[in-house]
Amino acid sequence: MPNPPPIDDALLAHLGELARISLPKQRQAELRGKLQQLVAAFSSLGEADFDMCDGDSARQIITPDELREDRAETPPDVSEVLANSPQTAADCFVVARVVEP
Amino acid sequence: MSTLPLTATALSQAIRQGDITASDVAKDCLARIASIDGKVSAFCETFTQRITEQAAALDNRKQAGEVLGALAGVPIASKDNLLVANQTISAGSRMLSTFRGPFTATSLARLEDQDAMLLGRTNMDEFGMGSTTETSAWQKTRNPFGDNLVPGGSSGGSAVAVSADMCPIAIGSDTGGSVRQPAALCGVSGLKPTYGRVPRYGLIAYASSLDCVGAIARTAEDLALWLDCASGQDPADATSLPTPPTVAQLLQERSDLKGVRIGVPRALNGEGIDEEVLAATQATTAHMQELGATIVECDLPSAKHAVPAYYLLATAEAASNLARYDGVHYGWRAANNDSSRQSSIETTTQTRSEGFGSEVQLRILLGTFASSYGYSAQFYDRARMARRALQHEFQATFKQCDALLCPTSPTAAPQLGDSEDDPLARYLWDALTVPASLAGIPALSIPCGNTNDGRPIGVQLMAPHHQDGRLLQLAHVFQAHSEHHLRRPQL
Repeated sequence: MPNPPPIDDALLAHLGELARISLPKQRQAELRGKLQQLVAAFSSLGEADFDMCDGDSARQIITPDELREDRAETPPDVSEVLANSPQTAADCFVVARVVEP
Repeated sequence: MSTLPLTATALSQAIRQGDITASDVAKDCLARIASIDGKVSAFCETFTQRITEQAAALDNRKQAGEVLGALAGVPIASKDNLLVANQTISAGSRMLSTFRGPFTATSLARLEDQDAMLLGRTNMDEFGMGSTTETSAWQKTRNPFGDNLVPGGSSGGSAVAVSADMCPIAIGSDTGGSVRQPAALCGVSGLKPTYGRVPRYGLIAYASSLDCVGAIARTAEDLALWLDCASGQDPADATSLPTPPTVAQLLQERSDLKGVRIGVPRALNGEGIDEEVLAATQATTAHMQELGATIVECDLPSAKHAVPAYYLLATAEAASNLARYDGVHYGWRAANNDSSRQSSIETTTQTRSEGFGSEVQLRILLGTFASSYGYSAQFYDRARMARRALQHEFQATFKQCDALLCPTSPTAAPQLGDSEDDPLARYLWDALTVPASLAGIPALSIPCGNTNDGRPIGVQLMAPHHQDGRLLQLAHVFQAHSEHHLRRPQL
């Protein structure tokens, strides 16, 4: 079996940043251990011979593409669009600061 | 007459004939839930006002002489990840604790079009990520066959609702076995249709190349009734398939299994499976042989790669799908003491860290790893190849046989809390259901026996794409000649 890549502190921090999930110190050892266990087990895929099996595996059933009729529809009401937003103001979503002062 | 033990087929017929009213059925269901759901916690919420009004409207239409639909007055529970207009739908997550459905999912709207009544939403593992319903943010659902036993998952609430006679049909979703496995553990029947056969518009996404809407019922006949009403192309779901011929009619065409070739893949009928489960599966095979089927031993060598392939692909897709929960558009938003000083990235990170449970966070991290630069070739791409290999092998195997058979789950229901800290052990528990999910083929689980201590055992049947009807036909014949599906828990 190919050597599994080590899940070290730097990689774990990188994954947390990509996934937008904070990883407090007290959880890091547990998460690192679980991810390492899974990555080690799943490295078994590296030893199998799949050379003849590449392709679009996500598309399981090939059917002719049928396009929807292109017609204008009434857009939803603003209040409907905002109905589930955690914070709104003046018919808009409220977002956090995106530009550093 | 009491309405609850009736199947959906019998119930709709009785209502159309005027033997019972939809209002009686709704009252019986709500009373049953009120009296026993405290023991099993299957429901997050009942749609009491909605179903009471629906029932009254149906009774008025019936009295006015209108002919009611195929699901007339059938109360149907739905998993907490299928949208119902103006009802809270949370996918078992704190992240969506305040989310209300802006519309009703196509798969549920079609049932209402046939005069079904939506009863309530059932508990589930958070975003479908779990096999025991223990990762729900809200409650722990218990198996009606033992209150210290898990019901399976992730559609555990739906399986319990049917098993405990709270409704004849409950809708679930099946990404890697989430309908079939809880059905097996709770002693009921569960169908994952061909990928795309039932539209997913309004289903909260987990892994889009795998997610299917499925159903749980006591009998294959009821599953056929449901499938005929729910399936067919939907302009709102580009992956949905055209409506095939009706399935319910197929069930009447066969009374034995003469001429049917049933394959038993060695890879799914040996290693890692409990002896009692294997014995019940072998007894089922023998029974099907008595009914006229020919049993064919076959290989499915890539099945051994199914769990790694499934968990790498599903989590990679989940990492992408769940990126939408950013605390802006909908759902939970976390804030610190001075939110005006928080940046967008800080808000999103805090929201996701507080809103997602630990299993969802683990899977997002795994999926992010599998699809990230430097690792995707070794993990995500290899998983795609394994999936392709498995699809080829299924195609080849279905040239030798009409259906495949194996246990649904390697064990009967375990105790609550078992293996909570061991993700690999939990993931390997899905080894028998994920192959059909990766191939997109229809698969169902039906009860086939029980362990010495009374826990139900399920057997799984799989068929080629679009052969959902043939699959239900086999199950219907088996159920006509056995009584496993009639066994009920003592509550």
